[in-house]
Amino acid sequence: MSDLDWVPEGIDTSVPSIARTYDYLLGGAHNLAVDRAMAEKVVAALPGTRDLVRLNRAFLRRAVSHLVESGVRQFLDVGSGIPTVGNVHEVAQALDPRCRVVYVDKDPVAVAHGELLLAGDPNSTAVQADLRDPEDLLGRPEITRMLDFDEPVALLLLLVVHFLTPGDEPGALLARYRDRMAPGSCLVVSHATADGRPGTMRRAADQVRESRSRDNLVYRTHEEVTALFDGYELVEPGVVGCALWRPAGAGDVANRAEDNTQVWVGVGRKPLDGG
Amino acid sequence: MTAPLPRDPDALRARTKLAKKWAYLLSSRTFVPMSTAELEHRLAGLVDRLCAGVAVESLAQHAGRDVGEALVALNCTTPEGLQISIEVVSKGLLGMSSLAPDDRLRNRVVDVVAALSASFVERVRQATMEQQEHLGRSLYKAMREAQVELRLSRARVELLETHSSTGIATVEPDGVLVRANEALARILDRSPDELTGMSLFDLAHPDERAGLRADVAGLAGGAARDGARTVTQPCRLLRADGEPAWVMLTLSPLHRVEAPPQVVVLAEDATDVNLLQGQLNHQALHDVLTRLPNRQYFTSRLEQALRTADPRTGVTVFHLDLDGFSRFTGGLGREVGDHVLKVVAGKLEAVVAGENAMVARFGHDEFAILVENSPGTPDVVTTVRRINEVLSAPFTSHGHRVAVSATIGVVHRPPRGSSPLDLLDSADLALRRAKGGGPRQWELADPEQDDLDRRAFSLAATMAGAWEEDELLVRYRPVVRLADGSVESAEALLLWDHPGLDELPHEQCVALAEDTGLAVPLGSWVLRDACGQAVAWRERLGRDLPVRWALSPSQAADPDLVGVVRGALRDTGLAPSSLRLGVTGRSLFSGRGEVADNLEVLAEGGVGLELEGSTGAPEDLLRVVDGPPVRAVRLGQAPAAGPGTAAARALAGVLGVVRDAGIGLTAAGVTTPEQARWWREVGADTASGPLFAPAGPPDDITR
Repeated sequence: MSDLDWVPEGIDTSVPSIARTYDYLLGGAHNLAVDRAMAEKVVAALPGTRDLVRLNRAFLRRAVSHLVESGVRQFLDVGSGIPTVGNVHEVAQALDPRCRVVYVDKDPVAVAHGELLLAGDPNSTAVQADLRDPEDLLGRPEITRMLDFDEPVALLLLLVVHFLTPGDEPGALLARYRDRMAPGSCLVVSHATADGRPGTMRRAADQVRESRSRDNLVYRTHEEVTALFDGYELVEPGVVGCALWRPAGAGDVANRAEDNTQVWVGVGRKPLDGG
Repeated sequence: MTAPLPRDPDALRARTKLAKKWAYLLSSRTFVPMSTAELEHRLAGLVDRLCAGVAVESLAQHAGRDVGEALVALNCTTPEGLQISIEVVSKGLLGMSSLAPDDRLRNRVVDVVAALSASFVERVRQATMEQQEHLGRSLYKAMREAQVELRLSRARVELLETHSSTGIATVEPDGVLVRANEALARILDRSPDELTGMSLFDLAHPDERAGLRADVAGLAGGAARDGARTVTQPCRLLRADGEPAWVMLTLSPLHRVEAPPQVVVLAEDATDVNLLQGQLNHQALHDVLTRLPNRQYFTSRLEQALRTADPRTGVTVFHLDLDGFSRFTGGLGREVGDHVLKVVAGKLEAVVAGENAMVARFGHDEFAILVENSPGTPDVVTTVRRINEVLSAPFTSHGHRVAVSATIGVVHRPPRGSSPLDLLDSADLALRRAKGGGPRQWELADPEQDDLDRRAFSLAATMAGAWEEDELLVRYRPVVRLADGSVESAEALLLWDHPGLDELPHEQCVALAEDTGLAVPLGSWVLRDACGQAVAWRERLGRDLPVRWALSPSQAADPDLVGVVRGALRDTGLAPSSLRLGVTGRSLFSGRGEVADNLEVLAEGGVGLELEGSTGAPEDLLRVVDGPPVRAVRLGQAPAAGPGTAAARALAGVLGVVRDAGIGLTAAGVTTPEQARWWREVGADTASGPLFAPAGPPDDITR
């Protein structure tokens, strides 16, 4: 008990945070030198990094719009990072103000920021919890107050599943979420892959590891990402490169063709017949 | 402040083209949180604003600043975003010749773009500062929440450490205690300050030190990183006086950030069973079925109440026994019985709900109530009446309508400082006296009566031991012929040569034996002794001297009686005709055929039966005349008390009938010559009693 200078995990400003690094890559200033240093190293290894992050963000907007248009009104965004601009609640509530959104992250700074940002919004909240503990996460009163799991919920897992190790058993883990969700619920995943450019992607992952980040990238193949949608019916066009999922303008596509397919994305819907 | 913009198709097309190109380049280079169509729409507005600034000189500054701010609001904050915007906007505006005269157009565009750049930089700077400010606040908030949580945890740990009965210490890998709580200090008989800085190994018994060192090193070293391994084992520590203290020791690694791990030591005093006792207390003090306090709990509460109760009002103890409770369990089943007990528990609690009282279940169907009286407490009679009123209200149990009543012993306002056990004894004795009067009775404890009862009960309780200690003796009293005073036979009597009391007479011994269930084995023992003596007398006298033993009701009812008697006769070699058994009219004439059958079998075998008609009830005497094969009737002294009375005369008449039927008559307990004469006159052959000879050892009979 003599560790008076103890710093909780995620608040230690000497270690880069994935959430703050995303913020920097999206042009935000909610970040520290250690985050920017890691971002620049990754960008040096993978010049299209900023585009990948931007395309992912554009995909999130298109997916959420699609879900609201197809009737979903509840969103659970796990691994949401620091909510800056173009967030789920902004996109969803612009289409229907009744949409309810819960942001979940294990990074206490990201959650604290979310709490400050969402202070006046009765339909949105931020919660600190870990994707790897579904029973704890889904049982949180802040979440069960906001979301009705007897009604369809969209589980948004953007650029977060690739931080799960094989030991976390992502397939079994996602099944536990699926089993708790009502028919008609949806799963949205975006997941970095090394398909096509294994060497470049490995160097990018090495930069993250060498920056002493607590989370490290685990790339998965198209087949592995498709398997994450077990128990869901994939919405057209299935699991595809990020830019190829229903693009609607120049902002949805990168100039370099390979950047358009460096992140696999997909949207699945849990069938109504419970199958 | 707006200005009319050229409306010709070429000008419109040029502006739309500029907005589209700008939107395309921006969205493909930088993150703008909206669709490209939406961005085009926004940028078209900005293009119009810029065109107005070029067209009207006074609007130039304003228009440029507005657009610079708008770009930052669109999240277009990167240097690349500014560069794209300035290139696209400058080129586009310079191509719109209809906006201003050629000589002015270039300067106006420069003015607008310069203002745009300046405000863009200003806004980016502000946004960055705001976001850094937000980040700082978020960091602070997260940190503070963590600190609050940490402080709470620490407070919890300290509270636990302070108040735990388990010894708790934190040790460095080298065994030095950096922290120790009061409980550990208590176990080791040292002060916590003294412990800090000492080595755990020095505090352990020499034999334990090597093992402890290995455990601590293992936990603090490499093994700790493999997971939360914990070691639990019994261990001897050393107290300040060098005496060993047995503890159950648990060692766990304490991982720390940027510091070597420590080990947390938990030492549970293995001699301290308080914890376990606490868990058992409730079970030990309550009745499982009714959840009422049990006798132990009641006694301790009573003990306390006797010390603390207001002496002006005192306490009252009610000891209740449900009347005929066995008919519930026996007749309606155990479920009903259990349910009835629960209902009774609730009813009794209701009766004293307004009082400072405790209701307890003592045993099967026994309950007790302790009331610490107040000036408003109802008197004993009222409370007893209310108890039986409440109990007698019928209720339904498993489909049966039932009601109960209770017999109650009451101790009211015992003296302060009475022993709770004596008091409970008094209540119990009062209850037994009340039971003697039938169901639904109650009795107040009476100190004098208590003494008598208490003596009898304690005698009964020690009788079996007395038998083993040879304090029980068989004595013989001669039965003499009234005609000449010669010894006709002898009756066996049971005596208790009690070391602390006077010799207890036969009647009391038999009653005690009957109370304690010893009547059958004791009776068999006497019977065998008597048979043996009769054989011995015959050998000594050369003639038969029959022996008589009065069967107690339970011995008469013993299904094995025939076997016991035959065994005694066979083993001693006594002729059945030399044995006489006294039986009561109740045994002989009761509806239970088995008893009468047994006696008849014995009579047919030659054993003489004698009716114990001590009260001389005429109906018994008459039933004997044409009833079972009885050789004689034995009567006590009641009829002889008033020789001249009508009752005596009537009895004499009846006895005449008995005599005429060939049945003998013998008198017991004769103390005076007048009594002896009266008996002789009514036809008695023999008699016994103090007038002739007291009971004595067997040899006295033949002397």
